[in-house]
Amino acid sequence: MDSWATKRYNDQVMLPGWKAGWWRFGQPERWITVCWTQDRVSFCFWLKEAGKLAKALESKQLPACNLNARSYVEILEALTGKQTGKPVRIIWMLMFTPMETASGSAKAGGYPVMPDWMEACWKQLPLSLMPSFSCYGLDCIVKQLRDWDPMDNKGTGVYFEALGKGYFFGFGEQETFHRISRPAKLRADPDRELDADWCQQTRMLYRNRTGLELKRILLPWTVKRNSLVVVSGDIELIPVLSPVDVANLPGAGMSEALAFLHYCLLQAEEGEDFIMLEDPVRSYRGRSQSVSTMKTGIYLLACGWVLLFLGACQNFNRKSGQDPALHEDWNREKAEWKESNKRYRKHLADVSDNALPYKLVAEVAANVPQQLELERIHLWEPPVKSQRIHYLRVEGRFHDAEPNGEFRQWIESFKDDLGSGHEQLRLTPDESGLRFQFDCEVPRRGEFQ
Amino acid sequence: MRNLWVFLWLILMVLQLITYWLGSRWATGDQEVAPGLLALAQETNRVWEDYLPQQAIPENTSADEGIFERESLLMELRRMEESLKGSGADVDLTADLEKWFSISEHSLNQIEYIHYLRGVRWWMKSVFSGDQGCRIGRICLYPDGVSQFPCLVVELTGSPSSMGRCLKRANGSTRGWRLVELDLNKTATGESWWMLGSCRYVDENPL
Repeated sequence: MDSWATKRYNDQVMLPGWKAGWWRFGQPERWITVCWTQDRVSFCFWLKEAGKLAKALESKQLPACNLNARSYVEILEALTGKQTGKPVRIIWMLMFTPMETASGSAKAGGYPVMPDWMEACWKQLPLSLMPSFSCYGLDCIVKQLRDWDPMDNKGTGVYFEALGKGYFFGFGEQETFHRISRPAKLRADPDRELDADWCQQTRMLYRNRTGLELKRILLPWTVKRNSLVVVSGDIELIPVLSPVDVANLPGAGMSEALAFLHYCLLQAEEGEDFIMLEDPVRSYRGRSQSVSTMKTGIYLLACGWVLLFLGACQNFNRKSGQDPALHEDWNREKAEWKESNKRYRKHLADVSDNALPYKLVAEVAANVPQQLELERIHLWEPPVKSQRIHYLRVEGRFHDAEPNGEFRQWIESFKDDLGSGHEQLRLTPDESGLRFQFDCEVPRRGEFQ
Repeated sequence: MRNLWVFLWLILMVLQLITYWLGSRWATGDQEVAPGLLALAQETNRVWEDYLPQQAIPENTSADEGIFERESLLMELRRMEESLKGSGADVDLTADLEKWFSISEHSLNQIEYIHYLRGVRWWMKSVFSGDQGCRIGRICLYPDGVSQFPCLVVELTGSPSSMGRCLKRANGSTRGWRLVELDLNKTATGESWWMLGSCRYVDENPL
């Protein structure tokens, strides 16, 4: 994972790979199809809009000797151009056949055996640039050709060339026959489209596989060059139009056949009957990554355990260092102290709650104006069992004709603090001044301000 | 290879858990006691005991222990009463208490009696004694319609300032007791005040 490509990706220069965001719903999807053959790799960049046919925007081909992880990343960058940063989905198509694998068999332990250069490239790629899925190219092509009407006739095959190879496909009752030819075998005879010997060999192989006689070979995309039907031996060579009606297929600087290959790959995404390839590289990479994460976790755990163990040992030594009776005393005293503290907290809360009536009387008696003579302070519980209030009555005599500011201030001083709205002040003229009687309701509990 | 790492991880996890368990077991209650800390804790607790005299009574106090505690409290109150009677106060507190015991014997348990008596003792000890300018006229109990416990009634005569000091002490710790009435009147001579106070015991589990 410490490859050049990963670093580049982590710098946010590269594509976010296959992680298409749901918030981009409605925007055109961007796809890159990559076609891997034994000695060549082809890239194609697509734009898929909802309800429209996919459009090939750019393409690129590279011989195997030039491809490594770095050039792979560069090509992806070049293809997406200025639109880097938007999500792109990547699909791989492996155009392998059993005859072309290094070991001579199609699969080894369920996976195709890939060339060394390819394996080296894949191992260097960051996981984020690995494809959404991979599939066998031949399966994708067969799936498209089966839907093509001219292929319904028995004894019909189709031949096209792409990426330096010739591909032949023919269908029997049940079976599928395909043949991939080396470039040297193609077009030995310039007058004819196909080499006569190759045609005869193909006919024989087709018959062996399907039990049918090969009567005609369709040659797509050759109508413009030669629209004549040529007979090679007993086989008719028929120029036809494209198997798929896609207007923009050749638009990206590719041959029609190569565009067709990429198109088949793009269609595979929607299909259900293609064989998804679990590429060994991804599994290997996923495993190695989880192992490395686990390794780190284990180192951390081990360090934590060592610390924990040391701490536990320290506690153990402490235990053996002191007299158990001392601990017993200490624990008892500690429990007692905690209990007392708890009681004191309760006590404080209660005192604060119950202190109001007593404080109120003190407040009334304090700061009495000079002309005022207090005669009675009466605080009592109402006859109805109300848990919330007391009644307060203050009686006295004021040695003046009418209450002055000081008197009012004194009344206000405890009235305001109570916050009570039910109060009554009664003033009665007397021979020596004014008699007053002040009544109010007092909340029973609470903090007196 | 991968399985080996998983196995190692599991082993380490188990080791961690065992060590944590052992460590916490060793540490619980057996931390080293600093020199002098125990003495300090003991001293603190004694101070608390003086400050919070109303110790909670254990739930498992037996009936005999309860009666013993009750009677000893009653004796203590009687001593206080005698001393107040000597100074001319009309105090019949213990007689009232005994009457109440005889009529409420089956409705209350000993722990509740003890709580109540401790509350009364607190009033007698902390509030109604020890102020020169304030004279106790009467202390008695009277039945209350709200609580099962009788109300404590006190009449005081004295200067406003000493009466204020009394009230201030009452303000300190009245947990379990709720004020029913407080009536302060200026006497006819105009030099001293007369106060009638009554309060009700409501909290059956003070402090």
